[in-house]
Amino acid sequence: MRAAKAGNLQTYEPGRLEKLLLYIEREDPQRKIAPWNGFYLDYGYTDKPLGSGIGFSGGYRHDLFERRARVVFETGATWRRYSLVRADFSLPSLARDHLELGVEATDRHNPEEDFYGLGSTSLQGNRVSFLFDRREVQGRAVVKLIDGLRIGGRMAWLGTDVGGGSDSRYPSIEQVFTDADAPGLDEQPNYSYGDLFAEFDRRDEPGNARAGGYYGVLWRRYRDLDLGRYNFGTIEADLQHFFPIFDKKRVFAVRGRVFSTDADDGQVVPFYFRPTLGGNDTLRSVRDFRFRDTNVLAINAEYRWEAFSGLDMALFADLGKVAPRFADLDSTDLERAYGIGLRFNTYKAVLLRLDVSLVGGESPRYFIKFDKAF
Amino acid sequence: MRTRRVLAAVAVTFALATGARTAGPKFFGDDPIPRDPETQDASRAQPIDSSEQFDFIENSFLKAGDRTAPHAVNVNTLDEVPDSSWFTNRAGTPDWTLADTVKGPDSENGPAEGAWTVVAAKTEGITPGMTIRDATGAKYFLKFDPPSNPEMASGAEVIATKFFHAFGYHVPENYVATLRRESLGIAAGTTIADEDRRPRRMEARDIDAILEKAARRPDGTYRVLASRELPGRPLGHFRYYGTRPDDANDIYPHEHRRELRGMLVFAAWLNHDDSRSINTLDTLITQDNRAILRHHLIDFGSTLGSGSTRAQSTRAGNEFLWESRPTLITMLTLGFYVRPWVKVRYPDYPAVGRFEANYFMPQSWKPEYPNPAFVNARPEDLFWAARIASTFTDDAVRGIVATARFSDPRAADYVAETLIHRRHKVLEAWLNATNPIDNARLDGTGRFTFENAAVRAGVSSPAERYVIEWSRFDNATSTHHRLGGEMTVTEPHAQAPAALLTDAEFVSARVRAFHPDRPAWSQAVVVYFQRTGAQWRLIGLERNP
Repeated sequence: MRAAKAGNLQTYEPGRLEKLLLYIEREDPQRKIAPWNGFYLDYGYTDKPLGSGIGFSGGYRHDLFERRARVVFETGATWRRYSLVRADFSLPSLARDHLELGVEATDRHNPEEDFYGLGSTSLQGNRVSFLFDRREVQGRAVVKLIDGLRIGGRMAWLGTDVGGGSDSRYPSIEQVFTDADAPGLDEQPNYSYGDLFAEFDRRDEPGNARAGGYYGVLWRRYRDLDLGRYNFGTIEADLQHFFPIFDKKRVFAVRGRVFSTDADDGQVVPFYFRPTLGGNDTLRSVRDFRFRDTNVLAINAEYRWEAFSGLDMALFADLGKVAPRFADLDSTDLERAYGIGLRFNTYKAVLLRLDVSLVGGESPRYFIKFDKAF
Repeated sequence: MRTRRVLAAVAVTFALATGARTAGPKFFGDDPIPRDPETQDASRAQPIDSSEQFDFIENSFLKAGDRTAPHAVNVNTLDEVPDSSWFTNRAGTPDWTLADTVKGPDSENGPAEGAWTVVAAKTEGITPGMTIRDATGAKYFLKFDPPSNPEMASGAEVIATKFFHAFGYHVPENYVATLRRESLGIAAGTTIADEDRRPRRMEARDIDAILEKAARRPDGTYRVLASRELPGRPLGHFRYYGTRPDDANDIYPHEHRRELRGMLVFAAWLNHDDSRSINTLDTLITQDNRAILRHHLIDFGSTLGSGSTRAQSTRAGNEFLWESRPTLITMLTLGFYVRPWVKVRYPDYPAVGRFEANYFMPQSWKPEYPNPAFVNARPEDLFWAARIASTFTDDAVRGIVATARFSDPRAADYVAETLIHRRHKVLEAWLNATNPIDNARLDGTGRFTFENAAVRAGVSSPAERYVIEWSRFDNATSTHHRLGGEMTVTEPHAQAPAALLTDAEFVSARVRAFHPDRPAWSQAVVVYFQRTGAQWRLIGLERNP
């Protein structure tokens, strides 16, 4: 038998599926398309706005000076004609990896942002679209103190343009709203801003957390460089905590976010810088950006359970509110969303998320996302 | 010679192989063969690349291999596995000692003290590691413990290596060693894959990046698992089904190999949930002036309570990565159905991870995903392995655990006691899953004696009775000529009928055991004896014929 086989030896020939998987594992085509160093193409782009549609980016990026510096040139666009041009230079590992310095320049074209009016009583039928372009040059310094703790600050110059939206399904903003309804609609100055932030990340896996928490605070101050009308500050807090039970097969995840703006005396916060509520990661019973005001509170709670190692499910409850005064961010008149979700995931990341809001707001409403809820 | 007959039969089909048992002589002059005659040169074998994802898919959804589960095809006439490039009989053989068990495959004491030169490394992936040459030039792969569980992965790997070596498998030499950062240098020309998998010159900070992810001792040193490079040329992983088309010695479908089927017992005992193709390695070596492939088990980092980079998942050993039924139930009940294994509690020993014996149920133990050889395992395959496991004394278990050099003696005690407890469960499950009689003898006076492996191992009370049927066996035609009626005895010995022994060259005894709590014992074991002068020698054994 052995002798017979010896006369008929063959080279192992994998089947088609195996060949394909071998190619993917060996060649890693995604890495070839989007290498860490070199020209690349990628799905999405840096800080691609919600609701901007499917988009792709491309550019050039490379480590410099023996990986002590890095440069990125990025362009991105979506099928809804949003676009980005960005350049970034960073020194990411100064002071034995404890300090990062960087500068970034961006030019964003957002042609059909959504606006429903200000306040909690804005009407769904008043949906309009508007153009919001911004050009920004920013310098940053980030200090990594201990594992998970980062503090830093940024200084930036920011130019903005607001205009009529190009979403043919809805009126353009100037057809429904005036500068009185939407402060900043008529004229937009250039700004400078400075901010400070601190974040403490103790999540077990930031891309698919099942234990630990993330706690971040950002304080920012905008200065109107041209009109003397829009000087204001913002403060944003994002607190997340994950309570695992049964070896992380069940997780109670909670998130609380507060975004508050505060105009200087006699000044006003332009509508396009006011925080919003609504959408896949704040209030899932309404569309993205459904509510907008000077203060926003959003609370999310999820009970997640592992169906098998590649699929988690979740029951979620979202509560949220927008208000003209910070003091009004109380527990009365909260907008609500209750629903269920499926999350196809790996241990480290959520690959595909389907959330359906069943009760509350403008339910039913569903969201398909390639990212985690929080 | 049954093995020889199967060699021919495999060429056609397994159905034919089974049928062939009744045709022609049953025993040949060299039976029972102690070594599989792997006579062919394998130097033309080529490296085979394996896809980890494909392995999961084909074993989880495509039912790879032949699932008809005939009797194991590579056993000799005593129903034992001959030595081969796959397996070497060790534990339980007459010359094997406790010291051999504890020593394992080790040929030395691990990497030599002094300068270690890094010749390769990887910073990406789940388990970063590096390859070094020690002061003597020996090459080792270094793996690290996760910071959350110092000593866990290295301890588990050393322990499992010793066990699997003693079971009979080919394994690497794995040592617990101490790495001193200051002793590490980088060989000239050493490269490391960058983020795009392109080679670039390796730098000292690459070593630091790897060490950053490793558990560090208070004195600044690192405990590492040093795995000595296997001899020979690596030619890829073997699969748990089929055969390699480029190796003429590889003629038995792997899913029908006794030692791969029986490995389920050892994997369950040691919680080797990662017993899959990706953790095997074929190497081309020279043996007896001939190139042959040797088949190894490697990478035991996910054994006992270790999940390599973290404590083992509670799912490990209890459920496949994908199982539709519990998944659907969990989905439909909104998670309020909680799989029972999720609730198991584990003691808090970081060096141990998650390892326990109270909830452990051998018969329902599972690897990460179905293993074709495990799926095909029959009671006699599992009995074969359990019988080997039964030769491990408590002292042997403790001796092996000591080689892991846990710094917390409570962790070492816990691992040893858990292994002893699990061994008891394994033996109880699988020594009793079929008729456990063994060590049959027939002396020149016709006194027939045998033993009961389950009773000997302390996992069952004795049988109420044994029923024996004697036959004269015609080897030329493989036919039994029964002599007399059934003989019933209450002890494991009997007197063979005098008329049977007169002028017979071969005789057989068909033995069944009866125990009120062990229904599987009533399955038959047939033993064959051949006259050798005035004595009889055991030449054949069929369990569940």
